[in-house]
Amino acid sequence: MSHSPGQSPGSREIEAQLIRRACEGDGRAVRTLYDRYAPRVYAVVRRIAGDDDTAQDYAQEAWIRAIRALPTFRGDARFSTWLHRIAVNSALQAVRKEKTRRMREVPVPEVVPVAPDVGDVLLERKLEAALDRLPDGMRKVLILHDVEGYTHEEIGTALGVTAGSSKSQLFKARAKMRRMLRGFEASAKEVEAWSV
Amino acid sequence: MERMTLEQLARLVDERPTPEEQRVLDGDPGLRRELEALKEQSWSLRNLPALLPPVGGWHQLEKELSAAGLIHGQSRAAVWGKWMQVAAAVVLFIGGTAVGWVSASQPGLRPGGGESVAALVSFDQPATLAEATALVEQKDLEFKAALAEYRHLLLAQAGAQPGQNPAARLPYIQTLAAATHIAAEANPGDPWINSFLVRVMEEHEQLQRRISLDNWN
Repeated sequence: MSHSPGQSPGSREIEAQLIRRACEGDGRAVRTLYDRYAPRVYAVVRRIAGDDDTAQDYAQEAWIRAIRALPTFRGDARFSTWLHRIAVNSALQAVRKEKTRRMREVPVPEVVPVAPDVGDVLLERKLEAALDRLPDGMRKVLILHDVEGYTHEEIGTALGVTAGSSKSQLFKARAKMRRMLRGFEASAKEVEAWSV
Repeated sequence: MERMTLEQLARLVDERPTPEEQRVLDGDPGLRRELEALKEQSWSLRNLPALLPPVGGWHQLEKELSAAGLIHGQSRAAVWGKWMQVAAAVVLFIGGTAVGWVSASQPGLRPGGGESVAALVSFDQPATLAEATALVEQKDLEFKAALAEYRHLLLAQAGAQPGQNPAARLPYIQTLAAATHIAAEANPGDPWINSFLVRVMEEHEQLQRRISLDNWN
């Protein structure tokens, strides 16, 4: 899994102690785990959710599930990986629930409406904005594959689709992202030329 | 094959082209540029940073966890009292060190770092090496928790959710960044403090980006 922070044996032991204390309901231990991993959990659910308000709800739900499931954590995988899986599954399940509650159709613009700039710092913002504008199915596959490093088989299991369908969605999503970002580049060049 | 679609190119980000596709690519520099751009796009997605959750997320979660009976122990007031004690120590430590920073150009005035914390946070004298190790680990956790709480309090003091009033939040984030740098200097090998520092710096960068976008608009 991507983004896994390296851990020394000492910090693994401290984390194991924290987990034991959190299992016993120690709020401070839970808080420390939260402080350590909240950004990664929030990042993945935010990208799956596509907006901040929904992401907050999904993140809360993911944490509650994780704390509830803590006694089942055996330490075979890293805690970060285990927690991450719970966050992804929880967010995907919430999306499914939400979808059945209200079928929302968001029009997808071809160009991301972000103010152009020339610096690399805007790239992440452009990517996040473009991700938000992808249709749900494409976004989930692109996030799980290109951001989170899942295989198509894993995506198939998580989303209840075939690996082939995951691949096909991924290629469409990449192409759609590229079209959106290409539109952005064109407007940035225009601004650059204009300012010269 | 005359020309490849963007979807076909997207497959070649992580799959080898067939001989026929390779021939088409070889003859079309525009397609090769597009393929490179798609690869770059996937690479950038893989390297997107973590996102800071909204301020106040923990307190909402804490309520829900308490209501669900998943956390218990010390009363919130007692915990808060300890928080404040440790947070006060951290603030004083940071304040003292910041003063030291200002006068760092004068030889011999470089701040001593953790001394103020040691003086302020009381603890039983350990009798054995194991007890001392456990105490250091406990204090380490408390320091980190206090640093996280310090971030929360600073952001609350800034009086804004992320995305609101970014110019007002900037000085608070800069203070937090300075404090975290000090902590990282004192514990250069500590993965938690380093990841905290990365998060603070990301937050700082996001805020600056936000301000620059607001200025643009």
